[in-house]
Amino acid sequence: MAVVCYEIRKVFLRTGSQIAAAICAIVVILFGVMSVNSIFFVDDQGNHITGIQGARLLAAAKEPWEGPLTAERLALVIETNQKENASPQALSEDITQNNISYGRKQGYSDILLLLSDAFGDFSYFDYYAADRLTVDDADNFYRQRVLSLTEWLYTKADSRFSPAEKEFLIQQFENVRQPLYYAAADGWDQLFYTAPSLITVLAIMCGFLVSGIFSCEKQWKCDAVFFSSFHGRKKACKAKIGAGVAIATIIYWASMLLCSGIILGCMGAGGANTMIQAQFFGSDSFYNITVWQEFLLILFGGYAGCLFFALLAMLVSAKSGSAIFAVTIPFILILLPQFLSNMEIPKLDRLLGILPDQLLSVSLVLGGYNLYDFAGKIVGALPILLVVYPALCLVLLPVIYTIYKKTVVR
Amino acid sequence: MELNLNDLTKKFGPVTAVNHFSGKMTHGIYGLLGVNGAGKTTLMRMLCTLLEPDFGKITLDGEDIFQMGGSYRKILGYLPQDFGYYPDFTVKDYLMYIGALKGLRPAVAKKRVGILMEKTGLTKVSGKKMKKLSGGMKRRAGIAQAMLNDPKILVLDEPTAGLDPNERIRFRNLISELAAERVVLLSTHIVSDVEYIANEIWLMKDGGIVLEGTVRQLLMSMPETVWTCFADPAMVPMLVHKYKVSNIKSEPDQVELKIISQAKPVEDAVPVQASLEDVFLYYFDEKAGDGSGLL
Repeated sequence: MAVVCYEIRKVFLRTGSQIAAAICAIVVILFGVMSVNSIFFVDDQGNHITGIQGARLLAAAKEPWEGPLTAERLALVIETNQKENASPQALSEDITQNNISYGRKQGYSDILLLLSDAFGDFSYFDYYAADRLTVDDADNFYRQRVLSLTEWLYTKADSRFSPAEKEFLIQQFENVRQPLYYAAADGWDQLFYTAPSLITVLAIMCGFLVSGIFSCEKQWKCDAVFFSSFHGRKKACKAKIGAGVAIATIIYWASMLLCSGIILGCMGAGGANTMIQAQFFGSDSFYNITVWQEFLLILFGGYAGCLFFALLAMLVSAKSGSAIFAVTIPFILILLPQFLSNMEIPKLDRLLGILPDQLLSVSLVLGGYNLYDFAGKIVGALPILLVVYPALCLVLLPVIYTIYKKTVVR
Repeated sequence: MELNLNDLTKKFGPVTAVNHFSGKMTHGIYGLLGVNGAGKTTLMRMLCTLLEPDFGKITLDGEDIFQMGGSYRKILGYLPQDFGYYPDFTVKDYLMYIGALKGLRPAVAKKRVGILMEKTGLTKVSGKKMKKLSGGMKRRAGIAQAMLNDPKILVLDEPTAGLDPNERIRFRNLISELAAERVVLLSTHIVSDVEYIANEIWLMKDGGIVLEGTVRQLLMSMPETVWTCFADPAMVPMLVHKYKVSNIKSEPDQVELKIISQAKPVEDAVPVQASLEDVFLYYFDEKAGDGSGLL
């Protein structure tokens, strides 16, 4: 344990590491504050109120609409929306009047989005689709979700999925618990929106911090003393791995919990037990999970991703003895798939869907449709990512140890 | 305790750094003398389990040191030639860290660090960062780290490199003091480092031992005589070309030379007692540079 502490100290005594840790802290606070400030409430005068007060007022406005999304409740939303759309403020050419009208819609705006999503075209979002509905359409809400998907699967996405995969997706949509229970989840929405960027920054920073753990002895010519010591080729190698894992773990969890604390603390953590299909951010997902479960998947997926990239950096550092080379590998593996995803190469999507960078953006994976067929068993990308990369992390630990302990000092 | 180096060979590509080297160490100071590139560092690195020999074996009391692993390294102390350090650690932190690597319990390490800092004169700078220390102070930290585990085998590779004469003498005395009841292998190309303290000297050349023995035995082994004489400055190039000249001292009108030769080099030459430096020159002369003792 003492050696692990010294290894951690060695990392954080470097100016570069101190700057990296400071960047992490600044990014966390910045992301937290930006998320809180991005939400707004429109008062009865049409004025925007942002920040914590805006979040609280918005939550209060949405509270009366909390409950199961039954046909009656959906019909009420459609009816209320129609009346509001016919109001002088909504029809006015004056933007302030429009804002006043929007202010009256805020309470049920999330449900309107769900309706637009279900009744609009599946492949693109039609914001005004809900405005064209009649109260009778409310009865068809759950059926329409499945119909939209089915139509998309057999037209625009026909060649993309096998019959078994199409059947799987339809089945998943049909399996959604009915009626969905709605509760406002704006805090979670902001957190899930922020998470991919934050986790990507953390993965790069963790890679940077641990990149020198194995190469510093060579860099500072301390390798001869290190490897000729009693623990040099056993316990000290393990301590270096332990230090790397500890640094990635501490940086990741401290940053994520702090950012989550700021966002949820300021904006509220309501809606955690609702299904993600009851929220606009998860309405098209085929993963039937709750908001709280999505949060856990993002947290643990992100951790697995950060740890994988950190271990990869450590492996390169142990093998090459170069911190610079080590730090570039995670950077390339994170950015290259994002570059490749913009190129239309057949079948590439499926490969990109299971690359480790996906773990850094679980909220986006949950909204994607990458499916994999294992001897007739169809699974989404997420279960594969959550099994393969933690397993690879476990494999990397002894590999790094074996490579480093056999270092030859010339 | 018997440390046996048996027919060791180590090659780096086409270069044979250590060539069928054999030697035995029991206790005391063993001086390893040789010019740069003789293979001293490679030999020491093999002795410290940092490099495995391509051929041959190193055994401690009959057991292969590479098989012994940790139990061998537990009784080993090593000061490398290029002694590296963690720049942002303080002297005390550095020594405590090395203590942890050497498997010392924190309380024991603390005590040993205190004693060794006192002995090496580092107490006053214990809180100073390693990167702020002078070359001499860094070397002291180097010897302190090598001694932390009270090693039975102490390997010192060019320990006095970069030190001023005062520090070199202090260091020599310290090593001599530490040598009791342990094996010390001290590598150097500075003859005076080992002349007064080594119990046995190995002269190393092209990866192998060319001569070994006590200082007295080495002096006796030299088949030629050492002469001192005075000569006209104009004659010096001729003498340097013709003989092995171990010292040249310029005086106002003449030059005093120390020459190694079977026969009397000049008429008024007087035989003198040979030193280890003369022996070194005698065996390694061609490496010193083409008869050019002059600049």
